[in-house]
Amino acid sequence: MNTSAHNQALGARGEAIAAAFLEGRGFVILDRNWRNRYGELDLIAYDGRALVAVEVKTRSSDGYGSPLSAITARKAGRLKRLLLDWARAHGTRAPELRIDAVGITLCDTQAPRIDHLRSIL
Amino acid sequence: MSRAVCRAAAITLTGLEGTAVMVEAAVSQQLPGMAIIGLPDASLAEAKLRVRSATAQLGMPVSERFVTVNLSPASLPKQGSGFDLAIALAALAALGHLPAAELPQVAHLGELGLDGELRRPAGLLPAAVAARALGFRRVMVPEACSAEAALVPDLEVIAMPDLAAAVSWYRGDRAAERITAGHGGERGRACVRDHQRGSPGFDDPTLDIADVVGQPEAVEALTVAAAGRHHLSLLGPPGAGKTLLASRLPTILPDLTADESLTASSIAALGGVSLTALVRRPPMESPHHTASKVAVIGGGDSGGVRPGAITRACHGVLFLDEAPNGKYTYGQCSSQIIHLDPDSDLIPLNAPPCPHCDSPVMIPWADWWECPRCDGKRLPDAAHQVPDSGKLSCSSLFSYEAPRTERTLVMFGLFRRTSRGNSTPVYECGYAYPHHSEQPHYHVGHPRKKTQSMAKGTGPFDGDTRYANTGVPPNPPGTTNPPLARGQ
Repeated sequence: MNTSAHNQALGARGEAIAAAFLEGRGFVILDRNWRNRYGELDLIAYDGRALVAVEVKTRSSDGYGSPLSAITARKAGRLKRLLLDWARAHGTRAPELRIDAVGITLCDTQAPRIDHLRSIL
Repeated sequence: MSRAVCRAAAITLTGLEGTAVMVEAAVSQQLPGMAIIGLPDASLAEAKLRVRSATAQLGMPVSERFVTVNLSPASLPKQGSGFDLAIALAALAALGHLPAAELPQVAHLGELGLDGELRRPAGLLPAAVAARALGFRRVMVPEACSAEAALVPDLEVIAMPDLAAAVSWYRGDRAAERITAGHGGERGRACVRDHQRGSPGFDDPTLDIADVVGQPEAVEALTVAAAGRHHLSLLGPPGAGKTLLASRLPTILPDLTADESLTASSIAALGGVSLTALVRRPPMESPHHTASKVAVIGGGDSGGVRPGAITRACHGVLFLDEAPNGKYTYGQCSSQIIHLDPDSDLIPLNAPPCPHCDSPVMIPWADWWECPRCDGKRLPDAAHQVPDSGKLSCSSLFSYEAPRTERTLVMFGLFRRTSRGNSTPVYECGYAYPHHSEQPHYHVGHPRKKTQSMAKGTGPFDGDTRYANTGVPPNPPGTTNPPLARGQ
């Protein structure tokens, strides 16, 4: 398996873990991997009050720091625009829009470490 | 896991004045990062990178969360890298890595290396002095300069080699040997001479008043000035020995008292060099007469207040050579920059000779002159107005233009005001030797020009082989130097 395919598989696995984690916390997953010309949203969820775009970042070790530190302010700003685009495309209304981030560190031997940040903007 | 807001204490210096700074750290739900607010300067703002790296090396990264660090009081500008330790500990406490209860009771002073090593920040000693004055019982300092902090009496010094040791300390791993009680520098007396500051040449421990050959009146003048902490000006032609005399004044001054010693040491420690012993001998500063205003008075910018020659001469001797050549006119200056001891004043005066014994050594008091040769006789002053001492201050020195009748004028300032007996405090504001307005001038024995005393063959260089070939005749056997010839 080459590096790119490995990373894609890692990302997909992380997103599945994040979706299960969020559902366990009462989120309803509305959409996954929605994309338009400006980029991609990993997960779109509804937590009973807010429409939430969730960016999932997965790493197989923390040798290069926390996965969350890979999300830059620029990327967070792009997520906000994408969430507005998604809401417009789907005609969804919510009293609150929010961007969350989920950082997942996968270890071969242990359970994945999940770090959920709410409202990162 | 994490607490809402954690606080650790630190000290910021404005000149020598210390202010307690509470470093507050709060973790918030934002993307990982760190923000330092509370008017940091550039080097303090870079602390976030040092702290992130040092904590990551420790295995407790603060880089997984957003940490807001506030330096309170937020409106006071803060400089330097000495806050690194407090910032790192407050951030780690906010992330739940160590208990935060004790952090506000200890003043933390230390700069972090990227690997977590602790280094000395500039001005460690004055910060430790300020910590004690502000009521802290303990300071945590880098191990390398624990001796410096331990110079402060009544202060417990916790010496830490690195951040990991500091974290384990707060977690309860308290090795007793890390604490040093401040001993007030009692152990450091042996190396006092190493920390004399001032121009090269004046620090020389081999200098001694005994080096002065002859010049009995000038030596007496120095002795009176040293004993009474008077200001002094010396007039004489080139080569008369004014600089030689002046450079020996610190050698006959007594050791500094404990408080003076701490102040002088604090000023010495404002620079980058670590002190291991208190400055116990009076410092001497001799700024050149072309020295800039900033060099003499001190200055600074947003990066902090820097002491000038006046400040570094605190409790010692300020030696202004060749004063009439330069103007030494510096006008008003801020007391914060100068950091004079509140009892300090510098007043050059021109003393009249004593009408009874013709002594040139006169001490001006608030409204009378004292002649030390006439057994302390107090002489009401009619002809010579003593300036209103209440109006005189340090700045009056700098607007004082020395008379240009002689090429060289040396002035000493001893920064102290004393009270005597039961009288109200008055300024012991100096005396002149010999007085420039006396005509003809009595030239303190000149080795090349044959002054009156030398023409009689009774020069003050008797028996000194250094003057063997200068043409100065020796004293005839059985004669002594004549009394001063003056006012003819």
